[in-house]
Amino acid sequence: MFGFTGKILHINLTTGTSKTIPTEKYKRWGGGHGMGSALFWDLCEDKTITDGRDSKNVVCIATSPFSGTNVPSAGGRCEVVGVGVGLYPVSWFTRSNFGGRFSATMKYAGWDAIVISGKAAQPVWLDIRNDSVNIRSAKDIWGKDTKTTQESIWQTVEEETETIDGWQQLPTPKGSGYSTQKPAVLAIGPAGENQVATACLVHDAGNGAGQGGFGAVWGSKNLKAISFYGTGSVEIADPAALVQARFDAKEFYAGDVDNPDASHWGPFGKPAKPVLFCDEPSKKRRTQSCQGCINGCRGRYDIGYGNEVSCQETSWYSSFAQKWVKGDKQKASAIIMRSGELCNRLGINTYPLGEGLHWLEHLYHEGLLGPDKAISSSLDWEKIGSPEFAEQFLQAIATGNDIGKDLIDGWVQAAYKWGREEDHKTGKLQFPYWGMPEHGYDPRAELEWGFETIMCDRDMNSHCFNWIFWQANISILFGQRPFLAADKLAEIVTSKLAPYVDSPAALDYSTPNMYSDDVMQLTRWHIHYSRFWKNSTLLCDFRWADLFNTHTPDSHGATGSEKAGEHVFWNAVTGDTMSLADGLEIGKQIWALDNAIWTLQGRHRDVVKFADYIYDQPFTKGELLPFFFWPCRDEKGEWHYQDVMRRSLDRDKFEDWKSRFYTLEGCDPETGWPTRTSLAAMDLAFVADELEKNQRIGKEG
Amino acid sequence: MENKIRVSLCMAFFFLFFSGSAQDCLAAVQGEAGREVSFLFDTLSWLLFAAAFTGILLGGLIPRTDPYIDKDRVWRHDLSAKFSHWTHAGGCILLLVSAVGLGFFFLPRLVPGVSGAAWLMDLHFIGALLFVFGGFFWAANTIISPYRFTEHMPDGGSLIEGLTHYAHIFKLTQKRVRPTKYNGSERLAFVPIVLVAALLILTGFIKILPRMMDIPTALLASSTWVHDASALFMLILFFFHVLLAAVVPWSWPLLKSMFTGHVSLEFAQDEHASWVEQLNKKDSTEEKS
Amino acid sequence: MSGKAGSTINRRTFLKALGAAGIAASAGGAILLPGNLLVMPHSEGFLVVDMGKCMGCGTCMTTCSLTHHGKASLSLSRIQIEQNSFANWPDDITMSICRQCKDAPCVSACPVNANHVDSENGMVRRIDPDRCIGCMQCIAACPYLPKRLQWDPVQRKVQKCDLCVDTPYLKEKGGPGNTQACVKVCPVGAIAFIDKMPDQKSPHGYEVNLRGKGWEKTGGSREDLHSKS
Repeated sequence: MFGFTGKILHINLTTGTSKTIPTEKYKRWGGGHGMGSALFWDLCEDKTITDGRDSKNVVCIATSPFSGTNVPSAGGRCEVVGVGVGLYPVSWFTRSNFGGRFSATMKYAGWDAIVISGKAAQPVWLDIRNDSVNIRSAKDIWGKDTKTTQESIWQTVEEETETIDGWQQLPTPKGSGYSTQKPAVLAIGPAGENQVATACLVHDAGNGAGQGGFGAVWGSKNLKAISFYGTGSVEIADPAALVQARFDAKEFYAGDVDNPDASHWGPFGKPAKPVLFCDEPSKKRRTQSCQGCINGCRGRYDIGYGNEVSCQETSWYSSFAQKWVKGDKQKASAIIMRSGELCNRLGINTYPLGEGLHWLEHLYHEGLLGPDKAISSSLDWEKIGSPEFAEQFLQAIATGNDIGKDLIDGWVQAAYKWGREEDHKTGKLQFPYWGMPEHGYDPRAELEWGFETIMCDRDMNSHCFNWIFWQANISILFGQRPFLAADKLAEIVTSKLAPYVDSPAALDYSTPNMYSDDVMQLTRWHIHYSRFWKNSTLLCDFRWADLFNTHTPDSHGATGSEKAGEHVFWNAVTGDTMSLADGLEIGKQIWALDNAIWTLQGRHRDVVKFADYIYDQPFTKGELLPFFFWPCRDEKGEWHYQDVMRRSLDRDKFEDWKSRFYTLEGCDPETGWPTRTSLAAMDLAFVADELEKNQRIGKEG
Repeated sequence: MENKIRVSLCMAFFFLFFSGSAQDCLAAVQGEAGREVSFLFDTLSWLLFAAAFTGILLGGLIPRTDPYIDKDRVWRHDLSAKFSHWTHAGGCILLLVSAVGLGFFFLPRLVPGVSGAAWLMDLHFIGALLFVFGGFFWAANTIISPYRFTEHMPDGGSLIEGLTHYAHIFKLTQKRVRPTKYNGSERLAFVPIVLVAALLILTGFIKILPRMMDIPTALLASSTWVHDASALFMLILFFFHVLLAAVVPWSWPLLKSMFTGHVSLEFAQDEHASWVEQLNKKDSTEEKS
Repeated sequence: MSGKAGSTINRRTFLKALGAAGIAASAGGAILLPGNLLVMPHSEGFLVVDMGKCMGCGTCMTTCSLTHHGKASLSLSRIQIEQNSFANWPDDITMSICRQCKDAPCVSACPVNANHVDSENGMVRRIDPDRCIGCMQCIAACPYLPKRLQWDPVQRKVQKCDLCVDTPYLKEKGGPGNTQACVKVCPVGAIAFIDKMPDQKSPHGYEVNLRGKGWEKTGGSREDLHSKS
């Protein structure tokens, strides 16, 4: 079985037992998310639960055939699925994804996925070394941050493993294996232990499965950490083809750090460089990456802090810190990097913190929050932006004290608890979908981001098309002509979206085209692409899909290419003969299975809606920039980059959009529930049986 | 007949030569720099050749006593036979145990690191010394007295005889066979055991050779494969030999005889009727002469 | 009744034959003795790594195991990159790569000439898997920790960096003067092949500064990690 190890590990924490499930049955899903959803379907006995902290919840951490290989920007990604925590109105079956080397090490240890069910009576951690599986007491590490926890487990494993000639020696069924590496540990911090809705899973210094509240899920199960240590290999169907494709990916598509091209457009071709929303804290650093990455996006520094802190971890406190130090960028950087690192140590998802803290600051200035105020908090709100405040605030969130007490169940939930539902409706609390914060790409402007998120379970966080926003708007910000003209870009991008899209119009986000079938097909392509190629084969969202890439003569990206396309890597690793579109078909099936789970959880199309402000108020204030340019056609059909701010969604038109979407996905447009015919056509009749038993099967069209 | 003896003695000196020069060759070709762990196979490889030499020498020099009947006892194994058998047995056990520990074919290595390898390799070396000595001791005996070989080789009736023997044990037939010194199944097992042992010794020596001289990689690699395959066969044959010659109750008198040298006349008449007849005939012939 | 040896030869014949064979063997011995002592030429190629630039992606490692074994593995990689994601740059990553030593002790230690100096491929020190007997003495002989030779538990053989001479899964020709998979695949150009023997005495002899002006443009420092002294 190429690409897979052939074994899935199922741990029942209630009984303290483990068993092995053959991977064969789950191979059809590719790995990652699809495999996880299928395992959840089979192993979660009550799929009506809507709080991930329920002991009946089943959480699955899954690898893919790419994990542990050199497939560019894929070898180290890992997917987590299960019922989430802190979403609104209920917590759906959801997903999160993180990088590093955890999935690779899981594969080297001989496992394709690990499924956790039940709840341990006492805090435990899982110690997996090749075939040996041990459920161990976490008494000594409970209460510790994620760094201390991981270092403690590294030390324990190292002390218990014989070191021979500088190599750690591990028994395997094929004789002693040897490794120079450290065990790969995925852990929760105090936030997870306290079952805080925004708690995440952290691996190494800066890899977090943030969204979905899986830290709280682990906390509820008394699961502190999972450690994998392995000395095995991933069998590859066509190693020579894989190596060649990886060479080609570098030669033709990747960025060259020794000759960086500032004008380059496209995700795959970016050179290795930490992605920060502040100045780099030190030049003495490396760009650090997940295993197998084509070009990393984080740094490790010589200054004793900030290792692997990047992107949103540096964004949430950025504006507060900049204000506090009155524009001193280096001082701000130190505060921002330290507060980002503290989030990782405490195991807090930084996403809600940015939008959330702006809202709390607003409540403070309104006199509604503070010492002896309606919303009681004794934090030093006058010092917001300072390192001291960040420390106080994050400790409160992680421990559920002070302001953190009411935020344990989620931010929108807190707004309702405090009688501030108006803030959610008016957008003072910018959490537009499923109780999650706006990502910087408002659904009223970046249509696919919002549409996909609402048709799924959480902030989509899939940047395939979003790179257009960054490339075009940064050019415009610096007064430059966009490197790729709007018409050219639309043509290149949409040429990659077969068989869903046959017209460049799919990229036209102008107001008249917002609800068109073309844009809908682009959205569907993206859901299915993300469900399979990103979340199941585990290509990194930050580098894939590579739709456009100005390193190539025709500016076409690696996606779908015969040199270094997704399917080229898949076929080399597994020996299949799949096309990019075949993968999309599996993505469609994965969404159908997910939708069936949501249906059992109680989803009906009526709850599939944005917060009111998305419909009722025009988008006027950009989170990142004061404008939001996107390729659009004017009345004459000419393409331009056009600012798509200052508009809102239309309820009726979006409801009609949903009906058409559900129909295309084989669901009953009245309820959004899957139909038997469409499920059977996808070889999912067993899903239809379960839905029928629960009287939740969609009516045939 | 003298030619055969010359061949065997040439062999003996061939090994003697290697034992003498092995150490010099080793140092000359590979050098000793950097080696922190030394294996007996490397430092004392000459002993293996010496073992072969000594085996042939002693095998040729030590007089043998053929089986004979003395009152109610049949003297089946003389001292040489017991010596040969138990050096083989001891060597084989050490070789197989160390081989399993080191791993071959699909069997994984069970010991970690170079220290584990060194320990088992040394054990393998001691086993090889015993086995090589025993093997060549037996070979010299056999070359000098070829009837020892022929009396153990299967003939046209061995298969039927072997099957009938076991059919009787399992009460499937009343018919009794009348074997000579070795019954049908013993004769049948003799061929693979000799072949496998010969292959193991031959390929084992080829594996030692690169320590002294430049030998082609293909020869070394194929020898390693044949050595491993033969070892696997030997493991299986060893299991069945121990099972049928030591574990099952009807073989206990024979097991005992491998220590004492004799079986009861009653047992011999029961299990090896034709052999007893032969011995009686031989005795009377000798008495007549 | 007496037990007499059943042999058909007498002692005299036996001893005569023994003497004749001895003379023949001794004469042959003089011819078979190998006379030339081994002098180990220097390798014509070396791998050096910029530990300040390395991304820790491990792609060199998986590509190494892929080109040599057809499997993706860290344990079977001949270049080992170890990291501690909480440590300070540049000590968060260390590298263990074969130094193609002068007078390589691992080559000297091999009892069967499996680990040898390949005169047809730039004098690279490499192990012929068909000759390796799995004794691990070369691992013991390697003076560096972690040892720069790897044990393959499945094949039960030792392997080491051969500068890609024996790479069945590399479509182009490997070896000194040709492709090294790790050099070619490294996303940030942190590994280089050189033909001049690096400083053998310095613990940092195999480290190199490969950070050029481009690196500076992306915000990194070009300073040497270790002074030459």
